[in-house]
Amino acid sequence: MPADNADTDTLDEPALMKVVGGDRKLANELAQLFLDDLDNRVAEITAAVEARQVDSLRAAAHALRGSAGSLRAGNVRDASGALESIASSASLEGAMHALNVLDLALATLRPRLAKMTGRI
Amino acid sequence: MKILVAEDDAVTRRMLVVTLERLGWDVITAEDGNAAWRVFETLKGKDVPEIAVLDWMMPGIEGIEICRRLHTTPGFELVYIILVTSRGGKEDLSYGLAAGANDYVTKPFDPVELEARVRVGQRMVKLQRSLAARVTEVEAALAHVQRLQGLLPICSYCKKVRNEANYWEQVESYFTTHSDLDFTHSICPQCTEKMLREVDALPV
Repeated sequence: MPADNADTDTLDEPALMKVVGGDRKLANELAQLFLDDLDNRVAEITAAVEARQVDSLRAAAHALRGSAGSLRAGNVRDASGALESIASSASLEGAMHALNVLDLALATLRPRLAKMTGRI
Repeated sequence: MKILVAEDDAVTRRMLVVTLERLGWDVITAEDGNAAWRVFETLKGKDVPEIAVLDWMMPGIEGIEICRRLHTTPGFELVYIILVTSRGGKEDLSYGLAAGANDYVTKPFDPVELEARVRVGQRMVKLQRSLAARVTEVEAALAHVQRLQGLLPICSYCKKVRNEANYWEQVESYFTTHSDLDFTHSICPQCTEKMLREVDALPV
């Protein structure tokens, strides 16, 4: 079984380290900033799906996609992107499934980020 | 030089700020479009950021709308705008550039690419400033030339000239105020001869 940090689909740490110029402290700070906003972002997405609010879902999913992309968290970026695309259709077909995919992606990302920030 | 970063996402904003500060820029940050516009309004006529790095989609005024406002507001037209966007499609980018953006980077951005694009912006700002200064110089020179153009009424007897206010004044005072000329006073040979004759004719 590969080491935890070898899962670059969840978090591409080598790519992140390259972007921050090898500054580990900055990488950890970015992880913390992402975690600080994460619960609110997920709550906004969940509420928008449940209330079938297309515009709110698009904006919230777009925000999470951008943030995850900057952090090089590929799975969460892709799952958020799928929700953003779904928000383009008024029917919101597949939104619940996409939300579950996002939850799964976050479940593997959170421990990685918590490790970076020293929470575990 | 001063640069504004307007980005609602804390992660991306921090990365933008660190990248630009490492390049030696004086970075001002805004967390949404309204705050970004307030920065410009507050600094208008003083120390307006030369470059703005704007997120396309953010709460409040969107980046694309800020582009339009900057390019239609006197005092802000020369701000060089780089849009940060996750919209990579050609139509989207064309739309962004048509709204007034000078350039764009796509999310997630590459610091090396951002640096290159900001340096292009820096060169453009310097070039525009230099051109603006030259235009001001040329306009001033042109205004100067225009003041000395046209018909100038001159009295055929006393040689005074009539100025724009319809007053007759000495030629030297007219040209002193209407050009860069300075007169040095002297006496020509003909007048010297005439003056000497007049002096000789004076009763002893």
